[in-house]
Amino acid sequence: MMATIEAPDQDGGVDPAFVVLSLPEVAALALRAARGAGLTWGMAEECGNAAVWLAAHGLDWSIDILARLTGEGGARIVPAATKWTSKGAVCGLHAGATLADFATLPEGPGTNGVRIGLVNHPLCLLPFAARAAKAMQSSLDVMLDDNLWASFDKIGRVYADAKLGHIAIGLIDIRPAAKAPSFSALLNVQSGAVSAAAYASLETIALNMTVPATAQSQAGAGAARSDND
Amino acid sequence: MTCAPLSPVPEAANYRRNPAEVMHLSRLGLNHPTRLSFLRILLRRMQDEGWQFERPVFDFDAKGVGRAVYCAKGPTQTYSLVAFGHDLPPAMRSDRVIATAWDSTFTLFDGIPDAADLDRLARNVPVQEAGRVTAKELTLSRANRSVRLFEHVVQALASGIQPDAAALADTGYLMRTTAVYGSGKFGAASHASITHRPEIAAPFQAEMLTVWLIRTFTVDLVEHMARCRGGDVAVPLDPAVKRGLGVGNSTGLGMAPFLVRHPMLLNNWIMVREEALARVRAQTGTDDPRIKAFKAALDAALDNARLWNTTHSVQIDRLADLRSGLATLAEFVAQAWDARGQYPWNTLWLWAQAALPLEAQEALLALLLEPHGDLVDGLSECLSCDEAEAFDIEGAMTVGELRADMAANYAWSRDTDYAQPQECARFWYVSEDKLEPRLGERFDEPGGERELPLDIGRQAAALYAALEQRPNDQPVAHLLLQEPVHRLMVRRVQMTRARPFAEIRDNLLSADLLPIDMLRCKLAFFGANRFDPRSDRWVRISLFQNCPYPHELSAEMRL
Repeated sequence: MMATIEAPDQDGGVDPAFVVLSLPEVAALALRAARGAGLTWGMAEECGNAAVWLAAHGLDWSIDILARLTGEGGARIVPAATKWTSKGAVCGLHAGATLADFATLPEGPGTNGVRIGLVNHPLCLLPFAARAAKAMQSSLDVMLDDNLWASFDKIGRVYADAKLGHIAIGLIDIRPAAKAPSFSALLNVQSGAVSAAAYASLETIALNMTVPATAQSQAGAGAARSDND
Repeated sequence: MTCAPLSPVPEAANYRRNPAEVMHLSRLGLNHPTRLSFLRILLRRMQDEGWQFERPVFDFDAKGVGRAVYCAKGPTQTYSLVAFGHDLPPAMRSDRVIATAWDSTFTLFDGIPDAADLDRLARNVPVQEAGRVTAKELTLSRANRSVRLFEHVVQALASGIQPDAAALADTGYLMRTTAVYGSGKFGAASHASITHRPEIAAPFQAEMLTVWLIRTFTVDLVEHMARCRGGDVAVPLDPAVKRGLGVGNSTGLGMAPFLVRHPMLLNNWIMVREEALARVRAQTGTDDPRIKAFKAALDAALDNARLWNTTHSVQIDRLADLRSGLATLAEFVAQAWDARGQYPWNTLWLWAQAALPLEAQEALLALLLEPHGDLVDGLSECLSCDEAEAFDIEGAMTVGELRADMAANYAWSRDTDYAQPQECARFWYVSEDKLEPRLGERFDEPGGERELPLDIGRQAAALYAALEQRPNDQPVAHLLLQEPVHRLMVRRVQMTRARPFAEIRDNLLSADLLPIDMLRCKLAFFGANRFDPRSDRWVRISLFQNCPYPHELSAEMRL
């Protein structure tokens, strides 16, 4: 039976319904949860890195990543110039990683932009759009359902509404920016608050990448010996 | 990373060792502390900058229950060790990370804590992993007494006499830390958030400061308890005996994966050490002060080897090699070494390659750096790196370019048949109970399907095979799309392309693996000595033995 994990208590007057995590804790939890959910190690690293990017920009990473890790993975993506194809909505993390990988190739946003298509939890894609802009050394706009959602300058800095919504699914286009960003740059922070419930859920998923201790492993770790010397 | 453009010794490039020689555990596992070890860097900086030290709080009862605050004041910032003492029943005392109670618990506070901070920390620090700290804290740690020795010392001092010096020298410490958590753990400040401070920029400086102040606390506590017991009869510890005490540390598998998970850091640490050695070897001549300092360091190493105790068969053999090798070295230096000849240090080094066992060769490396602080100390600025800067995968890199990078740094991975049972006998995993790394026997224990990606050799070999099917001019983005399982390794190859010392060039799944080699490699960079393996996967060491205490730092010879 899977054990459940409770969120650690907060101390110092913070709302107990939330857990304040340092960025290394965000990275570790998101990576472990992604691996526990069955992502490859390379994609689990991407998930950890994306979570840190979102947290560092003051965004609640846990809602979209948890939804992604507990929901459908999404359809297979086939990148192509100007329009990517898929048989259904694609995963925000995988679409994002593919966007970053193909950023400077003909399948990337280039000069005419690219329609990614329907993306599940598109917030997960934004950290990769920042990487794409940096790799291309070009400003990019991310369009959600044909409306400007977030902009990136050529060093990957993001300009967006500070209350970027948690969207379950949306049509995503990536275009070279037509004009200067209309939003303010999101500021960098050094920790991120997530709900105690999301924290507990992510920890529970993360348990799927752990192995129960055995007497043999405990002994190997030194526990069988007395330290009263 | 390269320090070559800034090197005061550009010809050192001709004296660097080959990564293929250096990056095997058979040599990495014999690593010795040097003047570039992290604790030496910390002490040297505090000495150079004239740091001040205070103990504004020390409130303990006769059993050692209470709290203390030790402040270290630098030019711009103060750091405070907050210590809590507990009355731990002997049955609950365990050195391993799986314990839940300790004799003493600690945190390093960023600044000077006020009463509210101390109350908050008193609720959280004593329970360690079960509590939370905040971005105001840099580390979280705990330690247990070396029970017999601690009680012996308290009783002796309380009776007005000095404790048995031989027993103290034999153990070398009054307390052992069982974990020193840093960067972001349990809510603490991340290293990245404070790395712009010069005193924190080198690796593990907050952790080293924590342990150094713990050392002072252990001595203060034992003297306090002796005074409580003996009253006016009690005496303080003899300063010479005190000097020989460090802080013990018990380290298990939790530390081993670090070197694999941080290839850029490993590269920098080894590169700095190798560059330092090369700079010394490249010297055309030397002078009396350096020769004298080298001989003093050799004498200290002979003493250290004599006092170094172990009961582990592997280390017993290595210790024998070290003692005989250092004796041979001392004899050669006294009778045959031409210190006035051309390239005297290189002469010594080349002689040692033929005449000394590996353990003594690596000890010689540390000795050669000792009289050359002016040449090598500046390299401490090259030890750190921003790992995030190399995270992004370059999808446009071609398969041909990736292949060339692999040929430079991963050719070793093809020498092993990973399907052979002895070559995949082990698997690394995270334990469910403590979320700590463990090593399992693949054919005896469950969980192999959940192994950690420490199988770098096996993954590199698999990537080699995947690339064979692809044309040289294809961008790797296509490989990642079609075979996402290689994503971790592609990132790693790109990350390490200009970092030839980034990988341990051994199969970490092998039945022959000795995890203690990985532990010693890392711990020696910290500055640890007297490695005493307790099994093939955990080791006891001592930190700061024979180093100055805070009140001695300013009067000390330059460290």
